[in-house]
Order: sequence, then C-alpha cells, then structure tokens
Amino acid sequence: MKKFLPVFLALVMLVSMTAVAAASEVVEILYLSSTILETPEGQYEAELIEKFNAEHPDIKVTVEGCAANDLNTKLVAMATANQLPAFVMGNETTMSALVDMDMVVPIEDLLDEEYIAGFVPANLAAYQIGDKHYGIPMFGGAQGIIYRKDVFEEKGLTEPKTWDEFVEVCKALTGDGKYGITLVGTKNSSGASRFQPIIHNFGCDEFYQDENGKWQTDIGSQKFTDALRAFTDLDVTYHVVPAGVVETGYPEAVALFTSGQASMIITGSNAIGAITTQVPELKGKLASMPNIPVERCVSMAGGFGFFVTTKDPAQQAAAVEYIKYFINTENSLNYAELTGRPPVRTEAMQSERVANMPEMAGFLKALENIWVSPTIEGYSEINDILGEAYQSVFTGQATVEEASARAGERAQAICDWANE
Amino acid sequence: MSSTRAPGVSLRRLRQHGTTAVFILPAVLTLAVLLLYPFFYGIYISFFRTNLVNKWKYVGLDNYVRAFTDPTMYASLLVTLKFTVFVVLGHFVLGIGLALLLNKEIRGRTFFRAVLVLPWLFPEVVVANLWKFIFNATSGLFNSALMAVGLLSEPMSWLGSVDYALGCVIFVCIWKGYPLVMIQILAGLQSISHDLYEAAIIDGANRRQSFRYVTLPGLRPTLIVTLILDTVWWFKHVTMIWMLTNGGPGSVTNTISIEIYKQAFEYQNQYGYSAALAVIVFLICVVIGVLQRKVLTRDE
Amino acid sequence: MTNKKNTGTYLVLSLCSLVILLPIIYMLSTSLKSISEILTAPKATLFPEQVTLEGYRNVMNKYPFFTYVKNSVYVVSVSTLVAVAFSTLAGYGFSRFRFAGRGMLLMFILITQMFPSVMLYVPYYKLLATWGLSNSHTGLILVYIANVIPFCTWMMYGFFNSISRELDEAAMIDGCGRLHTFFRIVMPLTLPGLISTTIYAFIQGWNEYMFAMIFTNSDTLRTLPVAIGQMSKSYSVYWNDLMAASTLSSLPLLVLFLFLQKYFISNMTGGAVKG
Repeated sequence: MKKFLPVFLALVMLVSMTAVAAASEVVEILYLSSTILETPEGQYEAELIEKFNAEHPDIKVTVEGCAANDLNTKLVAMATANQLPAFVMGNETTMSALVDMDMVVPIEDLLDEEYIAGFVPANLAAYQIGDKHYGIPMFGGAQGIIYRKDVFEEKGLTEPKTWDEFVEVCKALTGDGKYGITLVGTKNSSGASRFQPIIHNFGCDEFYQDENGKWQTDIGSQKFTDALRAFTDLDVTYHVVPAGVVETGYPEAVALFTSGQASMIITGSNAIGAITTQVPELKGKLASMPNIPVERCVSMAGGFGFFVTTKDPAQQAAAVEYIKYFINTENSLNYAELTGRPPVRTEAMQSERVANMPEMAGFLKALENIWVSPTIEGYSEINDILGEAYQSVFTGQATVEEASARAGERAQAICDWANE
Repeated sequence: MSSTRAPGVSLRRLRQHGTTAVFILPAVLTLAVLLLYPFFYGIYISFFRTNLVNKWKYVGLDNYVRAFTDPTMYASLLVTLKFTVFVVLGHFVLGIGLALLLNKEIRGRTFFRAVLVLPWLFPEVVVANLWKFIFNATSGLFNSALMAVGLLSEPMSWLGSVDYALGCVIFVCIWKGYPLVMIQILAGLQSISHDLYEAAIIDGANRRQSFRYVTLPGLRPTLIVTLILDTVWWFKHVTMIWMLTNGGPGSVTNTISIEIYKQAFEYQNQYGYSAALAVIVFLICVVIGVLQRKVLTRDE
Repeated sequence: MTNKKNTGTYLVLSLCSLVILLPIIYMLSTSLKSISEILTAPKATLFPEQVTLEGYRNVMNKYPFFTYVKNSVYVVSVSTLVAVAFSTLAGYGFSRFRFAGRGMLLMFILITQMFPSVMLYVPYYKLLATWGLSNSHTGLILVYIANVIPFCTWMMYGFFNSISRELDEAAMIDGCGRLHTFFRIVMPLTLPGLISTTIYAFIQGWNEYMFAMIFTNSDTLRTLPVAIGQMSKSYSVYWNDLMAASTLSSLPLLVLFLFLQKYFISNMTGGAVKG
C-alpha cells in the first residue's frame, strides 16, 4: 500500500491536471437529485442528461443521487461546508431550508420575464416567498385521489362530491377483505401531507399572519377537530381502511392499492407511473379525482422544483440551460407520459398529448386550486404535529378532542417561536 | 553515585515514555484529531438558535431550560430507558447463553455458529426493512403465519399498536444485536486457560462453581467493555427505530435519540436545541458508563 | 448424562436458529419473487409461487453493483486494518505500561463513543471538507477508523490483560526488545481476540449507512449499504431487488466469517496462556 501511495497520488494529480486543462472551456455542473433514484423517473433523466451533454459540448452536467429522506440532512451538511452542488431539485421544504440559509438564487435573476410568464401559475406559486420565486418548477401536479375505475363501474359508483358521499362510497367498496381507501398513517411528511388537504378543506388554516403580522394557527380549533374526526373515523368508526393504518407508509399504501385490497388512494399524479410500471395489468383501469370538497376544495402542490445554488454566473447559465432543456415541451411531455408527472409550461399543457392522458383528468382539475403553504420558520414540524395527532386517535391513545388540543399547543409553540 | 544514576534513570524513563508513546499515540491521536472538534462544535451550538450557516443567535442556556421544562423530553427519556434496558438485557442473556452452548464440543457446531451470527452480518437498513415487511399488518408473513395456525382471527397491526410497537422494536433490536455479544464472549472464553478449569476441578469445584469462579472472572474484562458500550450504543440508537416506526405510533417509540434526530434534520433551525439534547444524552451515557464500571469492578 | 445435556443444548440452539433463519429464508424467497407477485399477492407466502431471478438481474443491470462491492471492500479493508493495528498497539500499551494520565486516556477513548452520532454528521463533514476529503473514500476511512478504535482498543486491552506479564518479562530477560516481545511472543496469544476484534471492525464498516451516505456523493464512490438504502425508494419499493441486493451484500461477510471462525473458536491458545 505504502509503496503505491506516491504513485497513486502522482496519478491523481496528473489526471486532475489534464482534466482541468481539458475542461477550461467546459462548464462542469453538479446536480443533486432524489428522483434520479426512482423508477421509472431515474432512467429517463439519466438518459436525458447524457443526450444534453452530447448536444452541449460546452456543458457537462453530472448528477448525484440522494434518497429523498436523506436530502435535507445532506444539504445541511453540504451547506455548512459551503460545498453545495450547482443546483438541486426538491419540494417546498427543501426550498425553504435553502432560502433560510440564503443559498438559493431567485429565478428572477436567472430567467427573463417572458419565460417566467410561460409557467402554469399554480406550479410557480409554490415557490414564491415575498415578491420573488426561488424555484424553477420541474414538474407540476397536485394531490388528488386515484381510484379503480373498473371497480367503481362494477359497483355502479360515481365520484363522490361531498364528504358524506365519500364515506358512503368507501363503505360500498368495503367487504370481502377489500377496503374503500388506503390512508398513509405514518408520522412523517408523507402521511401528514395527505391529511393536510382535509384540514384545509374543512376550513382550517394551519398558519397565517394576522393584520399585525403575527403568526396565528387554526390547529386545535373546532374546524381542526372536525377534520381530525372525519379523517380518523374512516378507520375507527367505519372500518373502510385496511388494518395497520399507522404503519402504512406511502409504498405500503401503493402496495395495498395495486393488490386490489383498497380501491382508492390519496396521492400525487406520479403514482400512476409508479403503479403501472410495477403492475402493467392496471393500465387503463385507473382514474383520478380532486380531493373531497367540504368548505372549500384545495389541493397540495404535488410538484417539484429546481433550485439553483451556485453563485458562479457561468455555472448558473449552464444550470438554467439544462433546466430549460428538461422542461421543454417535448421532453416534459415524454416525462409526463412515462411518469404521470405533468408539465409545468403552459405551452406543453395545451398539447393534445396531455388531453390524451385520461387518468390525469382529476389531477389537472385539482391543479386549478392549489394550496400554497405558509413560509413560517419551523414549518416542517407540522408533519410531526399532525402525525402525532392522527396516530394517537387511530391507536386509541387519545380522543379526537385531546389530540386536537395537543396539536394546537404544539402549533402555537411554533407561532410563538416565529413571532419572537 | 546517585548523581551518575539519576540521568540513567531518566534516560530509561524517557525511552520508556517513547515506547509508551509508540503504542498509545496512534489510537489516541486519531480520536483526538477527529472527535474533539465535533464534540466542542456540538457543545458550542447548543447555546445558539441557528441554521448552522448564516443565522447565529446566542440564547445562553435557553435550549437547556427548554429541554428540562419540556414533558416530551422526560417521556422520551423514559421510553429510551425501557428500550435500552430490555435490548441490552436481551443481548446479554442470549449472547452469554448461546456463547456457552457454542463453546461445547458438539456436532454441528460450525453450522450453529454460522447461523446464529447471521443477523450481525446484515446492515441495519436491511434488518429494519425486512422486519417491517414481516410485521406488516395486511401483507406481512407474521400475521399470515399466526392466522394460519389459528392464533389470530384477523390481521393485527403490530408496529402500529400502542401495546406492541415498543416490544416489536425491542425484539428486532435484540435479534440484530446479540451476535456481537455472543462473539465477543466466545472469543473471551478462548483466552481462559484450560489449566484454570483443571485446577478448579482438582480443588473439587462443580460445574456451577467453576463457572462462578473461573469463567465469569475470566470474562470480566470482555463483559465490562461490551456491556458499557452496548448500553451506550443502544441508548443512542436511531436507524432501526426510525425505519420501523418513525418514533410512533403517537410517541410510543419516540426515544430521545429519535427526538434529537427529528429536531436536527426534520424540523427547521432546531440544531441548537437538538445539540442541547445531545449534550444531555452524552452526560447520561457518561454517568451510566462510570456506574457500570464501578459496580462491576467493585465485585472483584 | 452428557447425552441428556446435549439434547437440551440442541433444543435451545435449534429454536434460536429457527427464529434467526425464518426471516432470512423469507428474505431469500422474496428476492426470488417477481415484483408483481409481491405486490398483487393478497397474503404473504413463505415460498415464491414462481421462482425468478428478476431481482438479481435488476441489481446487476440497473446498478453498478460491482463498483459498490469494490468500494465497500476497499474502504472497509483499509479502515479495519489501520483501526485494528492502532487498537492492538494501544491495547498492549495500556495493559503493560503505567504512566500518568493512563486512566484518563482509557476513559477518554470510551467517552468518545458516548456522543450521539446525529450530532457528528455536520461537524465531521465540515472537518473533512476543510481537509479536502469530503466525497472521498479517504474521508470515509478516517471516520470509520475513529468509529471503531474505542471498542477495539478496549477489547484488546482486556485480552492483553488476561495474558500474564511474566511472559513479557521472561521474554525481555531473554533479550527480546519491547516491540519484538509484543509482535513475536504476546500478540500470537491474543489471536482469538484479535480476530474477533477484526471481525467487529469489518462488520461495523461494512454495514455503516449514515456516514457513508453523507460523506460520499458520486455513484462511483458509493458503498453497499448506501446503495441498498437508496433502493428502498420513497415512491415504490422493489422488494425483490432490495432483498436480492441484501443477500448479495452479506455473502462476502458470511464467507469471511466462516473462514475466520475456526481461528478464534478452536481453543488453540488454551494451554499456552497462564492466568
């Protein structure tokens, strides 16, 4: 080992020097992505990057994968050492952490006005903080409900329009070891983000600023309690949910849906791609609808964005070049057809090819009423607060009122913390 | 004469110090270089409200005050305590028992050794995934098996049950961790001389007495270190609990280390508070270690 | 009498083996199922309806699996070698020399294991970045060395303590130097301990996830646990791929263990050690 070390070091130096010499005209940019690890998204994008690099000899995009669950941990470590990649992709949580660390370039500094105006407004809204946007939408989408069209037809059911109808449909679908809907009951963002639209639609604003600019919360209010009761009753009272709801994470819920044990699932449109890739027999048997309306009918944004973190203008330009390539009409439509993740540009959305994806209809409708999460410091704790609330009701540790009160206390603590 | 001897002595001392340094320093320096900075960094940020990059607000002892006035902290400490006691107990009962059995001259010994060490060979990520898959309420093997033999009439959510989740997590952690203890004890048993057993038999000791007076004292050095570190490691354990239950359902398996992890990487800008909790855990671990060592060495 | 005892022994060993083997058999069988069988079967079955190598093929084709294996072997071998060497030296040093601060240093080594590792990720990363070692195997090796030294040192310290000092003294009177005595006389006697310590260090590194996840970015640098961890995706889990990869990744360890176990379990040192 020792003998080879100098040789090895010399080699490394030689290689890196030649690399630097050769690269003097090539802008190399590093891109951190979590979808690059997913199937079928990853393979598609890896091939796209290869194609992009071949078509742009002056740019070299290198992609590195990081599991979505570890993305935040990794970004923090990288940011503290000032070693962030040129750009990353992620959701609003990723963005708000990056913005908080002052590590992300507003898109107004990267793109001209005309180009920005070409985004579907709902997709862009998710990345707005103050009067600037910090993320370039990567793919759009809103949360909704995917259901088994064939099972609905077999039982003569139609899309429910009120919460009561929804409960009836769930009951009608339950029986013979099959259940109406699978809920994600784990205590994490995956579970909480599927409960959030229900509290929104019951008329509860999780965080908002009053006229004095002070943060307030509706969590713990009567409306919140009602939403929590409606949600947990699906399992506790009506038993229309498969056993083990609190240990059902998103992949488990998808498995319950694909195996036919549940006929509905709350999800983003991307699940269509994931499901039909794994179980091709389900192609053509799926349909989608927006969330169940109560006082209002809004949806969580289901899209992801690109966040440009590099301060170097040449690298910024290169990153933008790639991002524009990824979301151009042709590529984003290909991506949408493969994965069920809709395009973010108005032009692409107007394409006939979008109209030819019938299973997307519900999600596209949901896109019209997107809920924009507030940007309060400490917001990400909401996942744990909501998770604890529904889990303690599901497991019978607390009554709905007790769980609601406890969630209210925790949410108030976040307001106090942010108001300090 | 003394004046001529004195330099000789110190020279010898010096040489001895040199030799000592050759043996001790590589390990100690590696640890010092790598661990002192993270350690003080952790203590330092526990006095701040910060995002670790551009926001640093000195808050004095606020984070500690918050920790000690937060009922969540006491609840999670209690969970941690239960978790650690049962896991470590399980490791040692199984580890020592199986090591003694595997030390016997029996047929098929290699087979049993190979099988019983298996859980140790899998990454924690894999073990947690595997058991989560097995315990799954609707499609898990465990429920299928129990229902097939008629012990259970309808699917049961094990990891989602207030009564069983902690037990299941403890079981999985015992399953994963006992081989380490078993192997260390097996190795320890090898370094006890046969002569000692022979001497004990000559002195008229029966099996139990020779275990009490020869085996146990011979294993003591191994046992003490393994016990202290095993306790500390599982007190701080995150990965498998996180993957199995995320600290739920509710907060049934929310150990203090899970709380630290959540505060640092799930919530926003709580590194300071998270670090304060970490310092508290560190102090508790030190106390546990010192106590265990005191108790076990006094026994001699 | 002996026979009766052995029946009990076998009973306990078999029962425990069953609890260990069942999940592992299930893992193997899952690795041999197709993903659509796993996702559409209404009930879990211990054995696959139809055996397919789909999972193994996916692991080999979709991922640079051999690169992961190579990375793991390299990082873990180097870190184990260095850590065990340092720990053996230190263990002997602590056992044989009396010097000021000895107890303190021993305690310091133990205490380094007591700080929650969640708090180590960020400062470690900063430290390695300052040295230009983030996203490198060298950085990971350093961290692994520091991670296992404490346990290894204390184990070796215990093993050296169980060997009589008279042995060293006799050797030194015979004219052997300290180092010579250490390498030629004392160390061979601790072989069982040395090997079990090595196995510990190796397994610890082979299975480590978080540090490897944070300190390496490129796919070409990734180690096995990170690769496996990333197979459990957030949108869909390909259980068959995951289980196939897990099986493949633990095979080298099993072989290593089977090869090494005879060295530390055959009572080879029994007669030589005087208590």
